Parts: sequence; structure tokens; C-alpha cells
Amino acid sequence: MINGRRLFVSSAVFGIVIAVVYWFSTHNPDGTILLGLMATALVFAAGFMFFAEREACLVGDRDDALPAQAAGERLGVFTVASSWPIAIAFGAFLLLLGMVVLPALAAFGLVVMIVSILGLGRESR
Amino acid sequence: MSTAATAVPNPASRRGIIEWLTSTDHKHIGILYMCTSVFYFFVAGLLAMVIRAQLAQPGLTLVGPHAYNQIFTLHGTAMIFLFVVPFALGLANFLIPLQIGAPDMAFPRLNAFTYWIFFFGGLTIFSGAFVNGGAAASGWFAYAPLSEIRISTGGGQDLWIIGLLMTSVSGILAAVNFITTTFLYRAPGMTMWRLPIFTWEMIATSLLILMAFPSLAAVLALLFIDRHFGGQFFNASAGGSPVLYQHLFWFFGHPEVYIMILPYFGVISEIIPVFSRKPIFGYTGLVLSAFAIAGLSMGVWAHHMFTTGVVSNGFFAAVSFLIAVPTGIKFFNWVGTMWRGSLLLTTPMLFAIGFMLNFLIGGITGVMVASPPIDYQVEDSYFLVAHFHYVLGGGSLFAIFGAIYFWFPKVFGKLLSERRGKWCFWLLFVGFNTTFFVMQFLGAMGMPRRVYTYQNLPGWGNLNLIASIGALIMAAGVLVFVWDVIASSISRTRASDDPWGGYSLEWWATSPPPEYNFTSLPPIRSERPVFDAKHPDLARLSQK
Repeated sequence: MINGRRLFVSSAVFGIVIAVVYWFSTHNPDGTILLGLMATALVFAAGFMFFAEREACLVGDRDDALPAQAAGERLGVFTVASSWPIAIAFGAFLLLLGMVVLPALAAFGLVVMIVSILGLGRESR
Repeated sequence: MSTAATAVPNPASRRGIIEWLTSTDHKHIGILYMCTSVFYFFVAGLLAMVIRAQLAQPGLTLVGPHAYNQIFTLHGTAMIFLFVVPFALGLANFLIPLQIGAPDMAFPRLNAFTYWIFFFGGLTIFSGAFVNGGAAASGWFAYAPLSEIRISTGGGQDLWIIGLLMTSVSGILAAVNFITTTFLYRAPGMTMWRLPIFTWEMIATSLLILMAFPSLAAVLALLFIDRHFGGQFFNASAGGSPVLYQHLFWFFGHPEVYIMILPYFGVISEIIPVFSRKPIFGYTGLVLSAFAIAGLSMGVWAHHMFTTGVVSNGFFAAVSFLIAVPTGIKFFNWVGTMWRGSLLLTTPMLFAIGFMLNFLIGGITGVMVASPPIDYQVEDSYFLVAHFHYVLGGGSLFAIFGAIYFWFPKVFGKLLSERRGKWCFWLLFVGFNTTFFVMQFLGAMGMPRRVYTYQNLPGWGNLNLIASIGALIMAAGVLVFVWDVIASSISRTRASDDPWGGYSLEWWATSPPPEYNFTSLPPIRSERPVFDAKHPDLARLSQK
């Protein structure tokens, strides 16, 4: 994952630099906090990439690799269909809509969401 | 050719409408995204026609002021959040796994969820039209205190907030999926420096979404708390700050402009080389300029706030000017690609050239309004309306039509008509420029935006009438497009797998591609693997 590491480390460095430059150019706390939070999130992602994915080596990164070398390799299970994503989204829709128009609808939406999330968890096992 | 790596199919595949409702196949989700967003384009376009009818002459009362406010709010919201961005997400959903030689997205169920939460988010925003007080009427950026409950009392504003929250969650999750898929599921030999430019632009866009969208989610949550839970975040009389709203919104809002344009830079970078019969000129420069634009766009948000008087105009003007440099590099690359190429003026290529011409005007006026003294003069005038429509209408919209004409045969296995496509292009191009070019003069004359009617001042009536006639010409172009799609879809003629002589891996798959995309892949030794496989002698020559 050397490419992912490079992307997020360079983005994090950019975030830190622009936050510092912004503070010394403007002394504006609102923008500095926003840029600082953005940089923190990028540092978090870069840190994960740096430590957790240190050993990852992908066939896609080797410029001399051929598709034949991956023939028959099992990339994983890619599900073709699942009812739970639409059910979770529908539950969230009812929950949020209900917060504005009808509390009972929100309660029903919450139930739909919880049941759907449990269903998705069971399906993913 | 070699066999591709295999994905294990899930036995629970379904057919018919249930298949579309439950599908986690990236191609189905991409098509759903694109069709839904085009539907919202039609809705937002109809709203635009009402706006232009109302403004065609001074003093008209086709709609009242409150209805007008709702119409332009829904028009802007739909075009930005429900059309331009989701179309890019849909196109990326369809194309990224195909372009990198992967069987699907990294997280198929999450991918389905991102579409459906976007779909319900759009419904939520428009459902505001049916509650007491009508839909949101505070503009697409809903400045506080205009969007606070003491002014926007109806439920429409709440539904707008909730709908936007849902679409922002959708965007964030889609970005995670795009980045993970691109880094983890590239086919053997598809190194990062061999990725098609569209995929690169989507990585930059995804990074921007991850940096900018949380700020939108935060500001919407704070606004909702202000409206319903006694928060005073944006209430100046209780110690809050409306300027804070602007900071939080534009910290998202300006990168959003690039989220809406970077994917379409990618589209143009795919179309131009194919119809110039040349490799893209300056591949590395194009990639690096995408990241330069993405990075710089995070430091320009307050150029929307020059006239508040509480931001550092010098800092934001300087960074805004700087963005013109990487954007200019892209133009240089596109012109360099066309230079001495064997240009084929097909419909996608015409839309690509139209994009460049329109976006150039939008870019130049963008540099103008990045200058605080000019911005103070034209702030909230029709000059700004012209500027951002040249960027997003003349830019993104033309690239979207180019993308549809270019990839329609791959997506549906049918070729759109070249004759009708050219009619569509010229009607849109002439109509667009008739509508928006004159708005620059209206803005310079001082006509403010977001007014439902205006006085009969010298020149205003005639220029507005010209703009409205241009809108009608554009509508005719859209009708030709609809006719073309219907006629081509019912035609029995099938497109070949690679009707244009394309370069990237999607043209290796059948049209439309099967489940899991590929049964075999060519060797990948450049950013044009399909061209290399079909012209091995030329490929060997260029690799030397």
C-alpha cells in the first residue's frame, strides 16, 4: 500500500503546512481550526496507512506483473444482491423524515433501521 | 490473452425490478446513480425555465416572490447536490472497476447503501414542497440567519437540511469506496502511473470529498440544533456568529466546486486523446495538476466572503489566483493532445471542445472575481450567476453530455445517433451562450441576482429576453437528446465492444459488460492497454 501511504502522508503534510501558513497570515481562529481538524483527520488516515498497512504488497503495484499471474486467484466474495442496503437507507429516511413531520414515523424508521442493520450483519457473516 | 482473477459469485442473484432494487453490482448502481441524477437535471431544468419565464420581461408576476425563492433554491440544490455530483459518482461507479481491471467495488453493499441514501435524500429535499410553508427558500447555501427558524419557519428548510445530510453521507461513503477500490483492486500491471486519467481525477475528488463534506455535515447539524434544540451557534444576538456559518459552509462549498469539475476534467481527458488519435499529452502533469487543484481548493473558501470585511482578502485572493496555474496546465495538456492529431469531430469530441470554450470563460471570470476590488463591485449580481453557470453549466454539463455520448454504447450496448447528437450539441452550445453571455452585461449593469422581478431600466428587459430565448434553445437541445436516447434504445442495432477505438480497459469488456466485468485481460504496460493489445507494433515502438 505504498501508494496509499504516499497519498495520505503528503496530504497530511499539506494540511499541516496550510494550517500553519493560514494562522500566521491571517490570525483567524475559525479557519485555522477548520484546517487543523482537516489536517488531524488526514494524519489519522496516514498513520493508519503507515503502521497497519506497512507490509501490504499488491500485485497491482508491480509494473512487470501480468494478469495471468492472478488467474484463478480468489479476490473475495463480491455479493451480487442484498436487500439490506436499501432497507437501511429507507429506515434512515423514515427516521429523519419523521423527526420533522411525525414522531411515530421516526420510531418506525428506527425499528426498520435496527432490524436491517442486524440483517446485514447476519448476511455478512 | 490471460484469464482475469476470479470473484466468487453470490448465489442469491435476482431478476427484474427486484434485481435493480437489491443489486450490489457496481454497474447497476452506476446506472441507477446516473439515471436518477439525469431525472433531477430535468426537474431542475424545468424550474430554470420557470425562472427564465418570470424574468423574461420586467414586472411579470408569473410566480410570487416566495414561490420564486423556493424555485431558485430547489433549482440550485438539485443541480449541485442531485445532478452534477451524483452523476460523477455514478460514472465513477460504473467506470472505475472497469478501468482498473477489477470485478467490482471494494465494498459492494456499502456501494448500494450510498446510492439509496442519496436517492432518499433527494426525495426528502423535494418533499419540502408538500409541507406547510413550502420548500426551502433560502438559496442553495442557506445562509444564517435566513435559514434560522425565526425567518424560515416551515418544515421545508428542515427537510432540506436532512436531505442534504443524507446526500453528504452518501458522498463520504462513496469516496471511501473509490479510494479503497483503486488502491487495492488494480489488475496485475495496472500501477498507479498507468491509471486512466478519469480514475486519477476521481482519487483527487474522493480526497476532496473526505476533507470537505464533514464540514457540510457539521454546519447542517448545527443549523438543525439552532432551529429545534435551542442552539445559538449562528444567532448574533445571543452571542453566536452568522459569519461562522459562512466559514463552515464555504469550507465545504468551494472545494465542492472542484468536486463538481475534477471528475469532468477526467472525462475530457479520456475523450480528447481517443478522438485526436494520440496518447494524452503530459500525463504526469495532468495527474499532478489535479492534486494541486484539490490541495489549493482547500485554502480559498473565504473568497466567497470578501465583502463580509472580516476575512483576510489578500490571503484568499492569492490562493485563488494560484489555482489558475494547474487549471492552465490542464488546458495546455488538452490543446497539446489535439495539436497535430487526426481530429475526429464526433459528438463526444464536440462536447469536449464546447466544454473547453465555455469553461475558459468561466475560468477567466473566476480569476476576475477572485480579485477583491472586482468582487466588491459584482458581488451578488448577475455577473456571478454567469460566472458559475459557465463553470458548472458550460463546463460540467457539457462534459456530462460528452460522457453520455462517449460511454452510452459501453453502458447499454447501443450507439447514440451522431446526427441527432450534433443537433443536440449545437442547440445546447448556442442556447447556453445566448443565455449566460448576456448575464455578464446584466451583472456589470448592476442587476442583482435572486430578485423575482425588476424595474424597466435601460437594457435590462432586452438582455433578459435574450437570456430567456437562449433557455428555450437549450430546452430544444435537451429534447433532441431525449429523443435520441429513446430512438437509439429501441433500435435493434447493437454497438460493438469498442466503437471508438478506445484506450482504457473498459473498452476491452463486452458492451454491456458482464457480471464481474472481465473473463480475460490484456497485458498492461501503459495507460493505453487496449490500444497496445490491438496495435502491438506501435505499442512496442512507443515503449522503446
